[in-house]
Amino acid sequence: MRKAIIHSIKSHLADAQLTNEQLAQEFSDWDAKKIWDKTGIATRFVATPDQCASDLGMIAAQKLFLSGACSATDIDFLIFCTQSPDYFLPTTACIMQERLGLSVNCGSFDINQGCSGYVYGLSLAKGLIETGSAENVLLITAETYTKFIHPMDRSARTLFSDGATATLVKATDAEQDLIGPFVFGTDGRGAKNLIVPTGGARKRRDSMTAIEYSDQSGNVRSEDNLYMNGAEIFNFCLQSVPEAVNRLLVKSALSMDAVDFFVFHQANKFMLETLRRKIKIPAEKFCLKMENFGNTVSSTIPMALEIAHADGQVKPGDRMMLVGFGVGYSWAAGMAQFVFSEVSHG
Amino acid sequence: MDESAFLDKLATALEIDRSALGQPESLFNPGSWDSLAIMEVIAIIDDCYGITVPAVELAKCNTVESLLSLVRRHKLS
Repeated sequence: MRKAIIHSIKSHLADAQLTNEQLAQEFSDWDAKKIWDKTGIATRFVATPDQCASDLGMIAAQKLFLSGACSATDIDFLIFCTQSPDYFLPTTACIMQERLGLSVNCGSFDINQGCSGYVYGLSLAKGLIETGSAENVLLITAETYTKFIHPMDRSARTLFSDGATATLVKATDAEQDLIGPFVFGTDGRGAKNLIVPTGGARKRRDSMTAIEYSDQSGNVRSEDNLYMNGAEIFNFCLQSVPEAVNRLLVKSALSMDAVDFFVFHQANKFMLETLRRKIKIPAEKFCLKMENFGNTVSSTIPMALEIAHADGQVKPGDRMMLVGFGVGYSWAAGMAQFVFSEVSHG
Repeated sequence: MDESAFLDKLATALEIDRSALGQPESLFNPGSWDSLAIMEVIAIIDDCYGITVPAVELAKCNTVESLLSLVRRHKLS
């Protein structure tokens, strides 16, 4: 039977680094150890002013091609996941088709999803392959959230990081699903809790929206910047993620014990540890890999997979549960069998 | 979990002296907490009592007693 598999993953991080020591120098009431203890992040990456999501995604895809996993001409569908596109229009995937040298017979579109985006992308790639619409889907996740963050918003700066991943999802012949099933969730009541309020068609940027204000924790931003209500998002995660995990287990007809490895969106260490304890996932089966790349939004799950593979935490044949959750609110969880052999980090 | 054990965890998470939480009227000021502190309190309540309290309601608590009342109210509902 025709099935989709994750064949290979490559990643790329933005050029500039931001360490805890640098943050502690800027915000004198914090120290590097405290930032590390709370976030589990040692360093994050920041796009340069001329570096966009498409630039990061292009390098990740080129690494995939250079690895020998496939060539540009093999790709017959491109899914580009970003919330920081180069332009309002055209869709960034069209620009990527030309820059990567993909065939003009290649389908392509963007999906505007954040932390749930990789799982969404995998489900779309599976659908395209298993319905016979595509053979080789290139799924790119790329984000430059730091462009939206005010320099004095320390709560957001400690977490977010810019980077991209490229995943080759291929058709193969197998008896059982190697990707899926999936469950999804959406709750637009949380839209206001992680948002860049201006810049879209609803509210254009002007001198009034650029007026800066401080919140009760001393973070500075304007309406032109990213706003994050961390506590409300945390609440949402505590409620929705365990429920999504249970729904997926029921849909998969699996017990918790039958899952070899859990890869959640790498938001921050505190949130992940709280979720792990609440869901009762053994520490050795739980992926905590954001230390050296931070919260790269839709790229955290594939980046964590790369590192977990390099560290020997996942082996071919392992049954993994992937769970993305965040901005929207949007969440998605899916099963994937670990079959790919070609991964590297850099 | 008894309330004393809950308050022990709370004091540790907020890095404040446990004796400061000894009286029901002990003052809280969640408005001055950073978002991580609020998340830690939400996590402790979830861990100790199995309930998730909304951050907006937590931020209105200004005494130990009002915090415990919030927990009791959500446990009942």
